[in-house]
Amino acid sequence: MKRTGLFSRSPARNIAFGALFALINMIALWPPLYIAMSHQHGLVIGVPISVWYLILVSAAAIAAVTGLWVTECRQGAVD
Amino acid sequence: MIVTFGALGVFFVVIVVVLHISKNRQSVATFSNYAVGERSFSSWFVSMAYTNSWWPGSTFTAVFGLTVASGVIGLYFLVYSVLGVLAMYFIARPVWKWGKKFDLRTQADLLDLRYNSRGLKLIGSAISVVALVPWLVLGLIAMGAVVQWASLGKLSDADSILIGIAVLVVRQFWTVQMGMRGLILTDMVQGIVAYIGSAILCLGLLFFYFGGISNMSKLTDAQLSLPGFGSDEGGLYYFGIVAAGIIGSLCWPMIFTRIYTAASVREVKKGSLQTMAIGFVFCVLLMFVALCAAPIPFAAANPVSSFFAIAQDAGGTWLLAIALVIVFAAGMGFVDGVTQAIGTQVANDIVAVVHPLRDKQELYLAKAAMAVTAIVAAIIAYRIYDSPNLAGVTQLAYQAIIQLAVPIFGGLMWRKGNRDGAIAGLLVGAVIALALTVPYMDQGGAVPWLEGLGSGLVGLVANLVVFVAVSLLRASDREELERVDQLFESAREPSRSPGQTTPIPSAGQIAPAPLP
Repeated sequence: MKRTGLFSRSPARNIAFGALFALINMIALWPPLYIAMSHQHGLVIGVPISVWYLILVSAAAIAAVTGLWVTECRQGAVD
Repeated sequence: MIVTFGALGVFFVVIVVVLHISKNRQSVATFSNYAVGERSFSSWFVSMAYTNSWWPGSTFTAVFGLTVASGVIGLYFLVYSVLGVLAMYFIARPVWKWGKKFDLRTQADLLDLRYNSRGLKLIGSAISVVALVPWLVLGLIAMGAVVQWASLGKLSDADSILIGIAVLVVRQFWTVQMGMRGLILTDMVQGIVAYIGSAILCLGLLFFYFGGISNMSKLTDAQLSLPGFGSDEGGLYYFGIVAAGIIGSLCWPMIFTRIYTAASVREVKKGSLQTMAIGFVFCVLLMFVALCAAPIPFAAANPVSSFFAIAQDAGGTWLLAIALVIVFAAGMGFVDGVTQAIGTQVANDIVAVVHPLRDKQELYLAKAAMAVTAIVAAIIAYRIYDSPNLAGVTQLAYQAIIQLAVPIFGGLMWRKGNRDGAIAGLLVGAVIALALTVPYMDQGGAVPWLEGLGSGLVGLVANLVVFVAVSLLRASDREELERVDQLFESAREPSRSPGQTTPIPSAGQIAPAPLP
């Protein structure tokens, strides 16, 4: 029986987006980073940096999934 | 009172009318159609149903209140909610394809198929149902808060709870009758009102009530920071609540079932993306309002009901009525989703495992289970609505439910994971999680000597280690490995036209494995 992965036939795409999602999760969940970022209270467009950090990490995940969706559609990988 | 109760009444009638217009005998003709709505819904319905199940009425009370009282820590909901949906995108293909091919209706069906174990299905379902009941109770209690505000403080807590429960029990009549199809259609209407309505209301409050976001500059350093090492909560507290949320998002049955309601893998993936976008916009605007409200004395004095208080202060009774309808819509969708998930799991995954049932019998049993659960939850809600430890009870449930992540995701990613490993891991993880949660119930299961790390995550690590170790030590035989290989291969095939199937025995055709 041929051994196959379950999720995709495109290793390059998997590695690229896998690394991107791992990076986003690390930025969101690495304690020294989130503690340090949350102690930055300077205002950018009226919003404290610690609030921006939590918003942008969420926005980055949405942007990454959008990129993956567009890539998969172009490669005809979504049925 | 006429304005507030009138607005709630009009919205309730609209929902009932939508249900009647969309009533379709075919949709409840079989248990599969009843449970997954004929697998026919587009991405927008999938995303709105997910959103309705994910952001309940208590978002406007508990989460909003947490942000008003404690500041940016409340945004952890935003982070884990968005990152949690990623899992739905990644597992869309195998879960939807196996669901379509083998007529799977719940996540327990998936466990049964993947591990060929009805015992695992039973354990997983029992954990799910037990973990869901506290959420149903909380949903009913949140509805009591809506009724009390609608009465402009004239009704007592107890009377408000009773009326809120009565409204939702009446609403359950249609949920029980119409199953998933009715649920998804009303989720769309409720979702538009709850989340798009909330976004518009929040924008209005930010522009016209707060005059911008300058109030954020008045927040204290403590409100703008996450807990660090050495703090009361601990440096791993934020990690624990976010990680548990991300991992556990698809362990909730009413969330997982959304995948099966979609018309195709494409609709699931597109729906995941839309869910993230809807949740992001809704939550960011709501949290901005909460952060701007934090420095206001009357909001800080009573954070949990500050969403209603600010709406009333900004626009009088009419704006309060709009806020109440928004929370009512979010709460009703959530309670419906939880009730439907409990009924389906009791019939399909617990009773039918112990005693095989015909399709019609399953259908009737699901309806009966939903009705009984709604009544039992109503009685509990009435008895404990003023308990100071409600949050601890739900955290206990949460620490248990995330244990399902190991057999679900482990089974989808690792071909050698097997029944013995999954059951042993699940039991060990659940016991450790519960044992660590009970002493720290007041802290929501955050273990102080682990810097606030959640007890569920500790159990999850043990669960994973046992799952891998037992799966390797008691490896599957060649026949089982080939069956799993076939399953994995079938998920990669392009979609076929109806009637074309891969010759793999379906879950129902596989000889039931003995209960371990």
